[in-house]
Amino acid sequence: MYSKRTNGNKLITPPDVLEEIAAINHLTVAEVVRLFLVQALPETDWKLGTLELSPRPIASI
Amino acid sequence: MCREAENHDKLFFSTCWATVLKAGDSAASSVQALSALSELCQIYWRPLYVFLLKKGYAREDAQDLTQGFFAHLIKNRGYVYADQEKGRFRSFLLAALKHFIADARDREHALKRGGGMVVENLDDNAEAQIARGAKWQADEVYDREWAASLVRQAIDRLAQECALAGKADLFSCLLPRLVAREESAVPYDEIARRSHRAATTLRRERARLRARYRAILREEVRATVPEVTEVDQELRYLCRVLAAT
Repeated sequence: MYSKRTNGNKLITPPDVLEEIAAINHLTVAEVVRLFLVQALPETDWKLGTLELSPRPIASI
Repeated sequence: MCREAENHDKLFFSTCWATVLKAGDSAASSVQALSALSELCQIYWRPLYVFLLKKGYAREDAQDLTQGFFAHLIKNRGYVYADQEKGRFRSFLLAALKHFIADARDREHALKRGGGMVVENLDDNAEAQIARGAKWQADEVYDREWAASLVRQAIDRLAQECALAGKADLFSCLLPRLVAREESAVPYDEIARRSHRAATTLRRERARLRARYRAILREEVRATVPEVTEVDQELRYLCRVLAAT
């Protein structure tokens, strides 16, 4: 699905990998990116609720 | 991924932009700095290209300017002018590009092709993104695309590690689950059936994948900020940018 080539430092995932993930999960690309970013933050940032997903799709990139 | 390669990556990504900043006035370390800068530019060309499109440059001019900018930055050691105290690579790169395009109006040669580093994979996708983000200013488009580039890079490193470990198929199945809402996610039982693995195994593998992804993304962000203490701050900033409606 995602792997295209494996040659050292070159990208092996296609540039639209985020769009594919967004389509699978019925999210916008911006939501997908934000969810991926939030996961790298401490859990306290989730509990604060400031970074929770909007119930409606937010504008895409 | 073998431990030696992992340690090498950690070392590299923990020093990338910091290395460039520290080498600003040191000829001895300039080779290392240029190497680090080149690596960063290869990863983050796309936000600059999208910024230029949003500014109204035609596709070909935006490509030429992006390539010419990197060539200029590396050839003229533009990083020497980075703010040693608080400069993040994201902010530095955009400020340097704005300076470059202002000068380029008087320097026709900057628009010529092939002056230096060749930017790869300039694609139609960026133009579609510009069209969808019509209400955003160019600086906002840049930050949003920067966040996407960070995530793409982290996903790609994770994909490479999984491929080396013989888990490329598992990666493909589980990657979308890392950001799935439960109500819209493909059920584990279905993934288990397709991948011929037990659902409990898949849950365990997803937890591992998430943990490794988290570590990689933090390394990628660390490579763009001067101090490790700024990683969370940068992540929160980008989350806020993406949350804006």
